[in-house]
Formats: sequence, C-alpha cells, structure tokens
Amino acid sequence: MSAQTVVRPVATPEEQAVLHELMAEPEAAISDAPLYSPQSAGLLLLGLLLSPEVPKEPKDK
Amino acid sequence: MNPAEVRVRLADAATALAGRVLDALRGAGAVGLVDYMDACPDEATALGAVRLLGADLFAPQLVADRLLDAREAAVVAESFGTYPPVIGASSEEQRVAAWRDWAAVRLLALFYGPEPDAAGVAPPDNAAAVLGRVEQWPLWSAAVARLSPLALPEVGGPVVAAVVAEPLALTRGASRAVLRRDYPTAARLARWTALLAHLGVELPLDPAPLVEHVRLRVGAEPRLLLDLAVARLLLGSEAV
Repeated sequence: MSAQTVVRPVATPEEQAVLHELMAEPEAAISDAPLYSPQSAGLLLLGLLLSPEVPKEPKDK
Repeated sequence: MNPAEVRVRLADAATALAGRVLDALRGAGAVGLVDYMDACPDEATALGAVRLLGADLFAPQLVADRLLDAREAAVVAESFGTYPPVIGASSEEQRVAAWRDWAAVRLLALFYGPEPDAAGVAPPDNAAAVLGRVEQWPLWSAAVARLSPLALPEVGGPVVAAVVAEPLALTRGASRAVLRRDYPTAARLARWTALLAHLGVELPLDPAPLVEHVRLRVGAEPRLLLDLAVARLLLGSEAV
C-alpha cells in the first residue's frame, strides 16, 4: 500500500506582507488635476499691455 | 527572493488571472482556474494571485451566471492554506486583507459549503475600523476603493451596509478620484456606485456615464477592466 502526501507550499511572512500590500493599494499620492491659476490671467493681461505697438505703415512714401 | 521581486511576480500572476475572469465575464467560457494553476510555473505565486483576486473569482457566477466548478472552488480554498488568513489584524493593510478574505470565504461557503482550509477566516470586527469616519470622506472613500471586491451582489455584511448608507460620501469620493485623474481609484469607486444603483439606492450622480468615462481612460489593465466590467453588468449592460 502506498501513502501519498500532498506537499503544499506555504508563503513566508514577507510574501504574506507583500500580498497584503497589493490588496490594500492606496490611492494615487499626487493629484493630476488641472489647477485653476487666476494669477496667470493677470500676467497675460500685463504682457498684452506692455507689448510694443504694432508698427504702422509710414505715411510719406 | 526579495520583496520587490515577489511583488512583481504576484502582480503579474494576478493580472493574468484577472484577464481570465474578464474573458469569462465577456462570455468566453469558464475562468479555467485549474488550467491557470497548471500553466503557472510557481504554485505559491499562482495561489497568491488567487488570494489577490479573492471574491472577484466568483464575479462570473454572481453577475453573469457562469459557474466555477468544484475543482476550481477547491483551488480557492487551497490558497488559504498557502497564504494563511489574517487573524487579529494590526495594520491597515491587514484589515483590508481580512475583509477581502472574509468576502471570498463567504462566497465560497455560499456556493460550495464550508471548506476546511478556509474555516480559519474570522469575521472582521466592524466596518468603521477599516473604513474610518465618513465625515472624512476623502479618506473614507479611498478605504472603500481598496475593498472593491466586496462590491458584488450576495456579499453583503457590515462593509456593504456601511457604504450603502453613505451614497453622498461615495459619489463625492468617486468625483474626487475622477478630478484627480486617479483612474484606478475611480474605477473601484465606480464599481461601488454601480452596486448601489443595482440595490436600488438613490445616488446623487448617474453611475452609467461615470463608468463609461473611467473606462475610456483606464487603459488595458485587466484588474481595473474587471472592476468596470462588473460595474457595467450590475448596471444591466449586455456587453462588457
């Protein structure tokens, strides 16, 4: 009569810790949301006001 | 093997298995858990992937009426022998793992009767310990997202009851995840919103466009596509 025993692998504590980390995946640490920046509107307006005038066609040609 | 290597191997094995569950949800036949085990060169890693998927392995049975056979159920039970269940969780990760294990064992017992290998999984204490305070809804919804495998019909229990009672916090969390473009979290929370809609809970937003919006941005990661496929089936969609 033969007796067979199934040998089952047992995970190490480190492997179990990795499994638990993978189960509890956290949310993304850094948000990728587009941010509203009101100061940039002021900068654009300032740039527009300080920009040189459009050159005019000389009259005495 | 160092932890980083274990992490990559487990994540890869879980991705492959999630692909099989996703195919089963899409009508490509059974999950084929026994074939998967035979094909995987490292038995411990394959059983870790089974533990990682947990209750999601029963998704084809619950939302698409596609049965796991008894041998496949035995593989799920065997995974608890290789990766012992968490007893007396002390960290946040362990609390999440304990609830996910509890959901898998609950479904295993529901369909196949109690399994001796899985009998050691204790019911975790209360939902507030793992979810935190609902007033802090960004943290609360992030914890809910980590428990997305519980968002299945028939799982029930304290966590599902706690989420069902807070549709406003859940939809705030889902909207926040979309605005942050954190699509993995958004996909998991979209699945919860679909479950609440399926259970007849009135929500402050329509989950169908949310699921569709996230689906177009989530990429090709099978575990996230699985969350969204479950969501679509819960919302009554024919094709996933």
